[in-house]
Amino acid sequence: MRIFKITILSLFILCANSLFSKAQENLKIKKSDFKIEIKEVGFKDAWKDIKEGEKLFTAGLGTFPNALVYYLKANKYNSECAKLSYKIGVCYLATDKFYYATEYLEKAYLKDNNIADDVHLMLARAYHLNLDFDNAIENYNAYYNSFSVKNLEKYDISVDKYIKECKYGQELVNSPVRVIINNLGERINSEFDDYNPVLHPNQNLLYFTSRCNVDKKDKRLKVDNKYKENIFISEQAGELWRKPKIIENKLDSKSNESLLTLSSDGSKIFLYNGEENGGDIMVSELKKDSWKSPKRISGRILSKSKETTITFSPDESEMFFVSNQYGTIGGMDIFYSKIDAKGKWTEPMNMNAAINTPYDEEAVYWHPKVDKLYFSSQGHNSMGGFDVFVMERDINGVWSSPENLGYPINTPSDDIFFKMDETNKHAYYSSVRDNGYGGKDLYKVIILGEEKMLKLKTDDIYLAWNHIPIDDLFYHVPSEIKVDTALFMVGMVTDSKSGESIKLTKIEVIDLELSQVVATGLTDTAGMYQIKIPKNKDYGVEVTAKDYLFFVEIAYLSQKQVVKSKITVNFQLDKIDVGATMVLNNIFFETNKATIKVESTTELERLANLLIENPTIRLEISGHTDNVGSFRANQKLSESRAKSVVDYMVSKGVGSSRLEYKGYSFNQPIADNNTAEGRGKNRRVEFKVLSK
Amino acid sequence: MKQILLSILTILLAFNSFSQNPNSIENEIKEIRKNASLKYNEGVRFAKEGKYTEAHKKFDQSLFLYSDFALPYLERAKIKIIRQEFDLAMNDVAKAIELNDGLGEAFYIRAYMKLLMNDHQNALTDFTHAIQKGFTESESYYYRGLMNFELGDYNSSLIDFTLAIDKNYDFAYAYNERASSKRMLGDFHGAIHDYKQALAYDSTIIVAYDNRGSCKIKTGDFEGAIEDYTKAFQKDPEYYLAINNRGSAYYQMSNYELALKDFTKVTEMNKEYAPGYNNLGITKIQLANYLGAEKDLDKAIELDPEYGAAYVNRGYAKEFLGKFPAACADWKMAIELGIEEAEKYITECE
Repeated sequence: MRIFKITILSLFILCANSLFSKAQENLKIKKSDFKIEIKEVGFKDAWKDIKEGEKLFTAGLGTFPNALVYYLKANKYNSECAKLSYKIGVCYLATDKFYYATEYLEKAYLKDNNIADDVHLMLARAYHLNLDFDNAIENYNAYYNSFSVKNLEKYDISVDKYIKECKYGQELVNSPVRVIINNLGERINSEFDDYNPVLHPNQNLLYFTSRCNVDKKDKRLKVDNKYKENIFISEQAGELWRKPKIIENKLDSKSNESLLTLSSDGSKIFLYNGEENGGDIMVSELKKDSWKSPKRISGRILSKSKETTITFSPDESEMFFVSNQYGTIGGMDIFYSKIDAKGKWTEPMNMNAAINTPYDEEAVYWHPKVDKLYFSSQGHNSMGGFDVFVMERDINGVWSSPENLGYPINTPSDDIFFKMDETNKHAYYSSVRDNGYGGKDLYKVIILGEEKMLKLKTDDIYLAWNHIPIDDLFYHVPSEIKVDTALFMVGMVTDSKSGESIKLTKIEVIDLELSQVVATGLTDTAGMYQIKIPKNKDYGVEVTAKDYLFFVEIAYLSQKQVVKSKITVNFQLDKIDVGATMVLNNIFFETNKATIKVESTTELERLANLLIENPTIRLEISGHTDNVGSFRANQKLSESRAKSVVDYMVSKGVGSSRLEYKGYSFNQPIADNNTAEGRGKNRRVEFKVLSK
Repeated sequence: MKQILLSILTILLAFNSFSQNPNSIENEIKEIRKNASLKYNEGVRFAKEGKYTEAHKKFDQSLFLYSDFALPYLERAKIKIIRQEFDLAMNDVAKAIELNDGLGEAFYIRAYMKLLMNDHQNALTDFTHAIQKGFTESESYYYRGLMNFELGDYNSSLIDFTLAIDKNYDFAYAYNERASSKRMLGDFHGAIHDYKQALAYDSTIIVAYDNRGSCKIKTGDFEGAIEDYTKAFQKDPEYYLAINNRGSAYYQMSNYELALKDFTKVTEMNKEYAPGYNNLGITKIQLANYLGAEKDLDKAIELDPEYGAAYVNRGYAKEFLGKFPAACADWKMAIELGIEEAEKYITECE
C-alpha cells in the first residue's frame, strides 16, 4: 500500500501564519471553575457545551470556529469564568472576527493575571491584529519579561519579529494607500478558507481554491483539521460572479490541488498537487475544449523539495517559482529560471537576499503586461503574517527592492495571492478582514489614483436687490411742476345808455364757496380794468360806481374750457335816474312767508349801501309773485315781503321816509308764468327810483 | 331793465390762423405748454396716489398737447417699467433724454432698465451720467454700486454703497450689499457687522441671514453659521438655499448624517436644483454609498449638463466603483467645462 505524504498549498501559508506559531495553552476548564453555586438552572446544558467546545478546541485550529460556537453558548450561563473568556478570545483570534478577541482576553486577564503563561502573547496578538500597535508592543514585551533567565530558552524569538511588525505597521497605517477593497461576496466566499484567485486571460472566468466541504462525507485532514483543497470556477455575470462550480473531473484529484496560473493564451493550466514530492507543480493542456490529465511540469525546476507557486513572464520565456529546495535563504524562497538558447529552462537560481528573507516568501505573480513581480512575504517590512510586495525590473534587467503595497491592502493577517490586472486598476487577492464570511476570503482591490477633491457647492444670493419689489426702490415719486394758472379778467365798464366809459368803477370778484372777496379792481380813465384771479372757477362779480346802480352777476368760469390766461368781460351800468328799476335777485324768503333768509344779507347790505351813499334818493320797494294761488293771497304775501325789505333798511339806519313799499301780487310778471323758470323769475323783489 | 353782458373768449388754438402775429403765436405756444404742464401735474397727483393707469392717461394727454415735453415721457416710462413693458419704457426714456439730456433721472431710469437687462457695463455708465447730471439720490449710488459689484469691482461698489448709506442711514439693502462687497474683499468680520446692520433695519432681508452664515463659516464659526441658516429657513420655509448652505456647513464639519438630511430636503424642496443633487451625491460618497452618489450626480448633470463640478464628483464616485473609463470620461468632460484641476486626474487615465 502506498502511503502518500499529503501536503496542502495553504499549509505552508498556514504554518507560516504567525498567529499561532507558538501553540497556545490548552487550559482545561474544570467544573469548579465554571459552575455557579447558586445557579443550578442551565448548568447541565452549559457544561455539555463546554465539553463539546473543549473537544473541538483540542482537535486543532481548523475547528476553533466550531469550538467558539459552543463556548459562546456556555458563556451565557457564566460569563465571568476567566478560563472560558480566555478560550473564547483565543478562538476568535483564529477567525475573521478577531476584533472580538480583545474584549474576552482582556476580561480573562482582569479576572486572573496568571490565567495562562501566554496570556500576554495572546493579548498582544489580539491588539496586533486590531492595529493597536502600542498595546501590542507593550504586551509582547510583557510576554518576554514573563520568562525568567532560567527558562528564557523557551521564549519564542519570533515575538521579537512581531514587535518589529508592529513598528512597521505603525508607519504603514499612518500613510494608507488609496484603494477600495471589496469582498467578492457570499457567492464566492464560504465560511472556510477561500484563496488563490486566478483570472482567465479573457477576464470572465475566476478560478480559486477553497477548503469548504464539497460533500457531506468529506472528512477533515489531520494535518490542520480542515477540509481538503478544491479548485472552483465562477463565470462573470455583469458586475457579479455566478455561483462557483468545482473544476472538471480531470483536474480534480483525490488529493489537494490548487490552480496556480494560466498561460497567457489560456491554453495551459498550472496546478499545485499536494501528492507529488510533498507538493509539486503540474500542467494540463487544453485540447478541443477539454483539459488533458495534468502532468508534472518538465524541466529543472522540480525537486524533491516543495514547489508551490509559479508565474511566467508575459512572453513566457522567464519564470519565477517558490520552493524550499536547495539554495534557500530560509523557508520558502523565490527562484528564477529562463529559457536558454537551446530552448530549455536554465538551472533555477535563488533570487538574492535583497528579495528572499529568512522568512517565507510565497505566491509569486508576474504582471501580465509589464516587468512587475508581486509576491507575499513574512519578511521585509511586513506588518504581520504575509504582506504583499511588488518589485519592478528596470531596462537594465535589475529588479528593484521589494516595496510593501501598504495598508489597507496589507494587514497584520495574511494577505496573499495578489493578482493585478492588465489595467493596473483592479487586483484580486485573499485576506482576512473584518466582516468576512469566515477564514480567508477573496477580495477585489480597486486601485484609486491620487486623492481628488470633491466639490461642494454652496449657494448664496450676495445681493438683496433681487428681492426688492420692482417699484419699491427705483421709483421716485415725481413732483408737480410750477405752472402759473392765474387768469386775467379784463374789460370795460360803460354807461348802458350813453355808452360812455365809467371811470373808477369798483369791480370785486367773490369766491362763492368761501364768500370772500379774492380780487378787486378799478376802472381807469378809459373805463378799462384788469383783475388777476387765482384760477378757473365760478365767481361772483359785483360792479359798483358812483351815481350808478350796482351790478351783480355770477361768472361761470369753471364750466368753460379755459385754456387761455386772459378773458374779457365788459359791464354796462344803469345810471341812478328817476324811474330806473332793478331786480334784487339775491333776496330769498321762506316759502309762503315774508321772513328773509340769511343768505340774502349780502344783497340787502348792497342796497343799504346804495341808499347810504346816495342820501337823497327815495325808492319804492315792490314785491311780486307768480300766478299760483289767489290774487288776494299773493297780494298780501308780496306786500309783506316788500315791507320786510324796507324794515331791514330802516334797521340799517335808512330813514323810513325814503322808502315806500308795495305788493303787486302777480300783476307785473317779467316772465312766462306757464314755466317753472318763468314763475321763479316772477317771484321777486324790485326797487324803483322815486326821486333823486 | 338793461341786461349786462358777460362774455368769455373762446379758445384760440395756435395753429388755426395764418393771420396771427408772432407774439400771438408765442402766446398760444405758452398757453399750450401751460396746459400740458397742468395735465402733467394731474398725472403726477395720480402717480403719488399709486393710480398709475390714471396717471398714464394724463401723461398721454399732456404729450398730446405738447409732444416735446420730456417729463411726461419719463414718468410714463417709469409706469411702463412697473407694468414690465420694458421695450415701450425704453422708447419713452430714450425720447425723454433726446428732448432733455440734462434730465438726470432719465439717465437713472435708462440705467435701471439696462440693469434689468443685465447690461451691467452700460447701466454703470448711465448711473454715472445720472449722478453727474445731479440725480444724486441714495438709490443712484446704490444701483451704481450693484453694477460695480456685478462687474467685479468690489472696491468701487464698497464706496458706492457707503455713499448710498451716507445719504440714507437706514438703507437696509445697501448694508447687505456693502457687506457682500466686504466679503468679496475678504473682510469677513466687517461683512458680518454690515449684515447685522441690514437686519437691524429690515429683518425681512432673508438673504442677509444666509450671507452672514456664510461669512461665519469663513471665520470658523460653524455653529453660528448653522444658527443663521436655520433663521433664514424659519423666516422663509421655501428658502432652500439656506438649507443647502446649512447642509454644506454640516458637511464641512464632517457631520455627514445631518448633511445628508439637509441635502435630501433641498432636493425635495426644489427638484430642479442641480447643486442640491451634487451635494447629496458627495455626501453619499463620504458615507461610502458610491452607487447612491452616482445616481444623484447623474441627476445633477441631467439638470445641468454643463455642471463641471458634478462631473468631477461623479468621476470620483465612479472611480470608487471601479468604473475607471467612465470616471476618466467624466473628468475629461469637466476639463472641457473649465475645471482645470481635473487635468491632473486624467493623467491616471492614460
